[in-house]
Amino acid sequence: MSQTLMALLALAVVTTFAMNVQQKHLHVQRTTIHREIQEMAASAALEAMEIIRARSFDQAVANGTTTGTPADLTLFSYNGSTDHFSTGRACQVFDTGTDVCDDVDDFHKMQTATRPFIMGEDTVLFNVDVEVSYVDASFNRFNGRTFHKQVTVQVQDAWPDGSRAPFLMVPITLSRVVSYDF
Amino acid sequence: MYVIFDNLNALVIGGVVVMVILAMQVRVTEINIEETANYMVKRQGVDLATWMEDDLMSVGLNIDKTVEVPFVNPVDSAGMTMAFEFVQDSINVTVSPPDTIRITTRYDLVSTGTTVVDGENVNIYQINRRQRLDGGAWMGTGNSPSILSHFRIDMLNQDAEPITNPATVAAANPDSIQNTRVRFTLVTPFESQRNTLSRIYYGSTLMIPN
Repeated sequence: MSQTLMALLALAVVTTFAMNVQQKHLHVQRTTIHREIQEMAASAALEAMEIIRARSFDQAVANGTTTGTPADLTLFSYNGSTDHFSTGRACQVFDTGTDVCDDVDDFHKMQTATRPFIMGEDTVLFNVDVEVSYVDASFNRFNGRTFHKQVTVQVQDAWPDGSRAPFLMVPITLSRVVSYDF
Repeated sequence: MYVIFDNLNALVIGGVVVMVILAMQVRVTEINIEETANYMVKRQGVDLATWMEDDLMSVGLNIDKTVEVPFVNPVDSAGMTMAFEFVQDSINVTVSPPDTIRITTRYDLVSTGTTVVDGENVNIYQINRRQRLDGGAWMGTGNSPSILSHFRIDMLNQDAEPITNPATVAAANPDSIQNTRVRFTLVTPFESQRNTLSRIYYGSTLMIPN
């Protein structure tokens, strides 16, 4: 009887040990893939940011109505304290529609874009969302026109066929401030 | 003999326990090898990306791009960039008149053989970096790990679309080239029986300085 009990105990211990090892391996695999997805998301965020940064600071600059002086501040767009700029554009450059987004704030809360990260024969897709707001010289959100706009890009992996939930529980966020140069 | 039969249950169960422990020991060793291989390739990838970004962010530094295009067209073959050359100027303002040194940097992608990844032969390469000052002799100034399976440099317009023949386009309109994008793939230096990653992919889009 005692022999059987000890044998059962040994089996229980080794089964627990084996389960722990398998759990660790699953954790290592998941962490590895998660890290790779994060790297790709960061790359997609950077590319989106560079697209946005290449645009004019404001519609007034794109239209050529600015004079290159501090007086240009009154020409800049401003929609109010909740959303500093208009929202919901379908920007052509991100293939979500036909809107010509030719200045930085056109991308504020645009329709979610899907950007590919091409890796050889496979492609991972990422959803890109953007927010733009005015900030002061200390990079704090400012409810009014300033010469600085903060662009925040959020990227999360997307699986359009619904085969799985995103690997990234929290989207990767990249934020930069663009300033009006005069 | 009767000792064996008397303790048959314990012997069988003990044998099973020992086998499971040995199997788990092998599994743990595989996990450690996989973690080490992943760490090595990630570390090498990050190091390569860091110095390459430093280089590419200085394309055309201190050069008037309306007068001169600071790079030559990337030399591509089979979807990969085999060679890329660009210049920057280093200006010494402590002397009068300021002394300008033209630094030319060149990447050459050279084959280092093949390796087996996921059961198939994959060509692997190494980037050799060379520099020269004021048109002098080329000096070797570093190289990447020799486990690259893909490498590509593209010059992008403001919509992040690659430009064909970018040097000619930039000569006509310097503002048309906004960014440089580099993408490369590294394979793991060795494989275990159960690999989570067989390749790592890296991409970076960098703005060309004004």
